[in-house]
Amino acid sequence: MPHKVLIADDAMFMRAMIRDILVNSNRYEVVGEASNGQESVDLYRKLQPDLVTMDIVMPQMDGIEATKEILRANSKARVVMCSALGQEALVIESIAAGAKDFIVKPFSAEKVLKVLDAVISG
Amino acid sequence: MDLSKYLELYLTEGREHLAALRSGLPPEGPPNAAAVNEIFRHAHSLKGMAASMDFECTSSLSHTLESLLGLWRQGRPINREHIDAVVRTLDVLESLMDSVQRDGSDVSGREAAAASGARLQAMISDEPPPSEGPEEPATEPSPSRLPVEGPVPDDLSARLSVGIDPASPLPAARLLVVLQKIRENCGTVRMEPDIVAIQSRNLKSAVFNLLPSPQLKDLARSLRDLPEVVQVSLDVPVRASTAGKSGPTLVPSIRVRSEDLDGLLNQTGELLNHLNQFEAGLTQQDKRKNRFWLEAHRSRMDRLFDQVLSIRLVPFDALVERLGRTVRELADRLSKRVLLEVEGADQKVDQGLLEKLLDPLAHLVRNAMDHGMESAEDRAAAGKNEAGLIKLEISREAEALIIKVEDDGRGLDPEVIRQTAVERGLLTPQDASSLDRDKLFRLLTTPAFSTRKEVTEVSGRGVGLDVVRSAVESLGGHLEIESTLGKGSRFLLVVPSAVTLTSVLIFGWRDNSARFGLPASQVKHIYPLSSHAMTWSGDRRLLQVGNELLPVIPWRLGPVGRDGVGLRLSVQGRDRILLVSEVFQGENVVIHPWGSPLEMVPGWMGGALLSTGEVAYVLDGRIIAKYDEKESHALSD
Repeated sequence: MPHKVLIADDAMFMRAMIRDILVNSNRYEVVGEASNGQESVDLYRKLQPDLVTMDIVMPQMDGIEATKEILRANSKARVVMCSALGQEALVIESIAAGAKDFIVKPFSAEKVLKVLDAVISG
Repeated sequence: MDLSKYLELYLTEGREHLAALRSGLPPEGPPNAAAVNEIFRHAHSLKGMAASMDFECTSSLSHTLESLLGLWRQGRPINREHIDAVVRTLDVLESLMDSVQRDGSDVSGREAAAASGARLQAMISDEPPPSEGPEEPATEPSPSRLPVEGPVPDDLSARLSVGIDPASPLPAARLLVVLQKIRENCGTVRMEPDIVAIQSRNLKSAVFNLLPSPQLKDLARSLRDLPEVVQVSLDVPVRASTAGKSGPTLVPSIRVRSEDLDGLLNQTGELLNHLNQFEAGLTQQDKRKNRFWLEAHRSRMDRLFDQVLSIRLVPFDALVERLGRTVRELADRLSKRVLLEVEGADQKVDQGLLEKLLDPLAHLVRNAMDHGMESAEDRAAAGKNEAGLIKLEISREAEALIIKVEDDGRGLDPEVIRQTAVERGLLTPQDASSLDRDKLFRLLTTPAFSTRKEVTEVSGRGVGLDVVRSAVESLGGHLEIESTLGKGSRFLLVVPSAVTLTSVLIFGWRDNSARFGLPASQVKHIYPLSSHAMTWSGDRRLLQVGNELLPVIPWRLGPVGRDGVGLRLSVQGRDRILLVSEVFQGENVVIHPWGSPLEMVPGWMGGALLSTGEVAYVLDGRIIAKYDEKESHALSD
């Protein structure tokens, strides 16, 4: 059974890339896509995915706030932050807030899967 | 990854971001935070997309644009000049989009992008430096937003050190993930240095102080599987510190030069010898009369000697840290992922010995990384974990310190060793094919023997095992090599754990006036030959003990008759009998390793001054027991 993933990113382009990486691995299935923080929280509640990939910079509610919301709904939620270089402070803050791990753009399929696999099995 | 299929999405969404940037540009004057955040986000998204598509010009220009917008986010007033520059940058970004649409690449706009970026950069540099926080001050984590450490107990004496891939893009965040993982498993943990220092100094490793527990080994193992973790070493103290905490001392510790300690040790050793000699010179009657005094004196003396020795003891730790650094540096240089797993680093070792062990151990670790470890691709092809594993294990067995350096690399290839030996004229093809693995591996420890053709920057020509061997032998120890092709190699350094008082059994051979000794711990039993039968099996002599037939070591330094004695030596589960003519006594002595060139002869631990004033030649049972029937050896000459 592939693990259910919710992708949160305001860029459709990024969502497409992550989706392809996940689906091609045959280990993950994308059950939902959110284009802002508030939507990711709503979809998380509705879909109860095994894992969320969360962009940090998003409109309406940023990824860090959305992560906190999700963790309030389920303290065991697995959220992996999507970050760019130069955002270390934000990533550190997200992890301190309860995100499990992070991936860094530009994404390589191998690295993304390694991180997600570790989070799923950890 | 095939990026072309994302091209259309990139263009559509990229142009949308540019349009949003254009329409969202704020007016001159003090910035409106919400509006600036909005356009910052569009620049940021564009940067991430372009980087993902490998459009260097676009991603680098939008990065610079993001930096300028970052100034506005910090609340810097927006002036006309800034707005003009941003508008022109947006034009250039738009033309880069056109290039991508036309050629599938943005390189044709390189010059325009560079010029535009330089103009923006000049403006950023003209601004006075921010009071603090470079890029994202609004969200810079203040200490209060970081995980707060509660009061932690003192007994965090287990140390787990973790090194991460030097190529990691966000090393501090990676170490924080590790910290959280450890916290999930163990609760209380203290990371050193703290996250703020790690981030500001861009560090790639940290030490986690933990409560000692048997589960830590499993934890260390699981950490090795985390992304970007390249080194994990665990150091759990064997026993909890029981040192009574007395009141505060004015000066809790003082520094002493190691030579002074050497002097103190020598003096104490001499005193002990004097007592031995004095006692040996007494008549039985005097001994009986002074028995109480002699025993009291001796026990004091032994304690003094032990105390002096223990002052010189330092934990193996210091060396492990050095080796860890070697591993990290080499892993970086050789682009290999290697984990160093350490066990027993809390073993205490004589400080002089520790220093002499650094070079040979560093040599073995370098070898393992340079020659032993395959490339990541080869490892993957062999079904191995991409990251290689080097295990360093320090343990103690009787009076020996045993250091194991094990890797899971390609292992030693006996065929290659045979070929090389023949090519170099060290062996004839016939001899080479008849040599067994042990002897082949021993050949590796001869000077200038190498199984590797190219000279590498890291370990130079040759594997240099001769250097390791002679270093170990000069300490009165020996080197053992085991290896399985494709699975890895194991190097065992066995060295006397320092100058200590060793209980030695003294014996001799007829027609040989010298006295010989074996550490009492190596002799399991003494059998008078008069009451045990000797039989032959082929050309191998066996001693019958009960229902057991024990092989006799075909080596001795004098004739042994029916009145002789068989000493049962036990090495790695195999028992052998050494025949001697006479056993004299047991004695506690200091074994001094031989100096050069006698140190080169394997099988001898060193010399010991006996209470009779004679010198005993102390043998190493671990080596002697391995002399087998057919091997002609330096010792038997």
